[in-house]
Amino acid sequence: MVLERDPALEVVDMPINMGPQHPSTHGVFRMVLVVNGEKIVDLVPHIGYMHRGGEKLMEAMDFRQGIGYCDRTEYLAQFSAELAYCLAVERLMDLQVPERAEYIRVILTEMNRLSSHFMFAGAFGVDAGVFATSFTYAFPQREFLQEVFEEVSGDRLMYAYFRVGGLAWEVPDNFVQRVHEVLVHSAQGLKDIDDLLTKNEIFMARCQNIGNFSADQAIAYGLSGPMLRASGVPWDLRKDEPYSVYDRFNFEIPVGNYGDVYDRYLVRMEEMRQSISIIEQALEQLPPDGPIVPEKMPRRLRTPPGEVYAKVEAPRGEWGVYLVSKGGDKPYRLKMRSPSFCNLSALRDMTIGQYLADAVMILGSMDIVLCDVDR
Amino acid sequence: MTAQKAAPPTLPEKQVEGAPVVAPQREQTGIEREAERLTPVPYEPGTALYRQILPGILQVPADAMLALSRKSSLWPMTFGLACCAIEMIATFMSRHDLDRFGIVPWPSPRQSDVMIVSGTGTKKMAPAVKLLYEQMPNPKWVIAMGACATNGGPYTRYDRVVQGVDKIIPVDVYVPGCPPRPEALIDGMLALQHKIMEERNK
Amino acid sequence: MTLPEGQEPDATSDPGATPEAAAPAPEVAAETPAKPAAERPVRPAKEAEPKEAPRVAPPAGSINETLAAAAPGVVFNAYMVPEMKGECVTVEVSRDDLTAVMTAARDDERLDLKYLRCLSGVDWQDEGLEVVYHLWSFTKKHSLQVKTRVTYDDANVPSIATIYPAADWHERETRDMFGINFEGHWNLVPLLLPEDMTDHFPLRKDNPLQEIEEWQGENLRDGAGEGDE
Repeated sequence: MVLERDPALEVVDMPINMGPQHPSTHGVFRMVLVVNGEKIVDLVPHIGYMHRGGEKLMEAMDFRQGIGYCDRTEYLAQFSAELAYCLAVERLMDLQVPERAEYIRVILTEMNRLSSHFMFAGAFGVDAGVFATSFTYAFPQREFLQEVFEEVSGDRLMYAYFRVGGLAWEVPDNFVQRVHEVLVHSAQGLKDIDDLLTKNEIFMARCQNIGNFSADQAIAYGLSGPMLRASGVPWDLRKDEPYSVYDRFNFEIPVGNYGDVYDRYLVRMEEMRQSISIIEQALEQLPPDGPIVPEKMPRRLRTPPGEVYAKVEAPRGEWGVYLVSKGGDKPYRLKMRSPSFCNLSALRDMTIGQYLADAVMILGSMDIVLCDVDR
Repeated sequence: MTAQKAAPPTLPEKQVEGAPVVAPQREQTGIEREAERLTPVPYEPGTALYRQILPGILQVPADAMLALSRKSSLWPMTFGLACCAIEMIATFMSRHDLDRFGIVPWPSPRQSDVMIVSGTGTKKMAPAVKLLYEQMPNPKWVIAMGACATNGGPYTRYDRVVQGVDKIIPVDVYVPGCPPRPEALIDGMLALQHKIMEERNK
Repeated sequence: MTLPEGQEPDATSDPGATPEAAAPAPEVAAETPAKPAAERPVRPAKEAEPKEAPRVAPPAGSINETLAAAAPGVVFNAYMVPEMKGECVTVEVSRDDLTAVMTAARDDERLDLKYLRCLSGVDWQDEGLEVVYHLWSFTKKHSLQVKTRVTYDDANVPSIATIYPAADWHERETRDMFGINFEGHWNLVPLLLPEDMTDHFPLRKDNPLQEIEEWQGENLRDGAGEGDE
């Protein structure tokens, strides 16, 4: 007998809305997934729920007030954002930052990279299904780092400590000793998270071979940071276009092979180890005393007319500042080239063809900060 | 990467929302239609049965017990919008533990008591905030955490930012700061508990 | 935050100004009344400041010559801005030649500029709107900055999103912020702005943040930064 199919039953594509509020903590991001069974056929990302006009407001802020806005835009890698802004203005004004300030900037930026990657490890574990255990491992490490940041700058999250030309004020006397203590904690915390996640069978099964992106695709989509390195492009701004004093340190760049989600996780874990090594080298090389602002520091920060594009290697990628100045003490146009924005634009092509559960993993592996995407 | 990219299929906006397909009208998005559909049942406090039987005798201890149990187990909906969300998560974590107060973060609005709005409310996000508030069952409270939720904060002059989330939903406790310290958020939650206890007769 | 003992405030901190936090600074400073005109310190006359950045011609053998060879027939104006510290040659093209230049930049072997770093719009009020592209090559390690300029009335620029897929979202964002229409883009819908507020473009200079700029000008004109040091 011939089996007949009911012609009224057919598989159609179903749109699913992962709305602006969803349990993964990436912020307000909305994805409309069109699924056929479990496979994703189309994905329409909707952003802009956090568009607060940072660029417009920074045109009305002079070069000291703008630092606070940089913090609030990239709120997990604040020192990288402040560093990019300060580098841009210093290049326009042709200021020479003293050595001690440079080293302290590097130490704080790398510690910030540690705390941002801890946040990534925590949130990524939550996405993978380790409901809150990875958060509970990651956040005390962030607290230790935030204690040092609070002693130095006065705030737990929005530091506003870098200034054009150097630093705002001198670090406390026990800074070196405190950083050594915190590094011990961080190394242990990194080992804990590593033991929890990296060789975990379920985690590997959820991460491997998901969201593969080749090197050519990554370059074409403008990816940067760990996403680019996991796809096989050995590019790190600290090594290849060095800024500040990064050319004096000896560290390696982890590069992935397959460009999948697991590679991105491994790249970030290894970056944390390299960061710890950079901080230790910087602590040894730190000049014990010295000025933290240049000798001829102008009292009013006025830039000559011109334009500059300054970029740093933020934990998420290349955080760039394109600053156009027409003279005066405020920028004429300040564009923040945000790595989360550029990485997120590749989400659609990375996710089509994957399963529904993998969309969350791919989004988590991008490690986006929504205020940076929307600015 | 091919040089010519085929145009990705674009779905019309309304069809995707899951709401009934209506003629496209610019004023309402799907979220707003959904919020209208969830018309809340008018909640008139003070009409419960136990208040009408022997007024005063059953009411006082019952009110006290209800308020005590409500305040001791506030389940906030994790509504982390922006930077304040990081401090909110840090408050839930082991250093500044909020679990000892009975406060457990809960992702779904349908089973949560309090909504901690942590972050800037933008005009694009405002319908979603309103919808989430409507989806929460009574009794519900709102904590506006941070300067942005209070009055717009550092972004107060931008015209696409809602100048304080109390323009959309009623707020019970304002926690100032940019971002507020976890201790300040704990203070805000304790103030909310105090408020719940104080207003138990209503 | 108080300074540790034994340290004098360094030259950058403004002694008479508000505490360091950037966000509460506006609200606190707005309370101090402006000094009346008679008491304002007389400023020395400023010498005429240059209004335009100095431009130098790029040295021989720079990337613009390779570009001229790769995209023949295209007229462009090449210069270098010293603040870029010799890193970047800027090339100004007209918008009709933009597609040719971008295709040549990506496909030509000598240029190999496959990475679009950044795409931003700038609003030069009387001189029109400008779109700036930053390109980078991983293999040749050189960069190029391409600029085109359009007028307000005719703000159409050909889209390069088919050449560089990274430009997709950047062009949508620039259209939201400046109102530049990118022709040939398949999906130029609003990206960042709410759907009902896309009529006026935030980053154009004729949408000023009026209150904050008036307040800023008032306080800074007093010489609030130049205290009694």
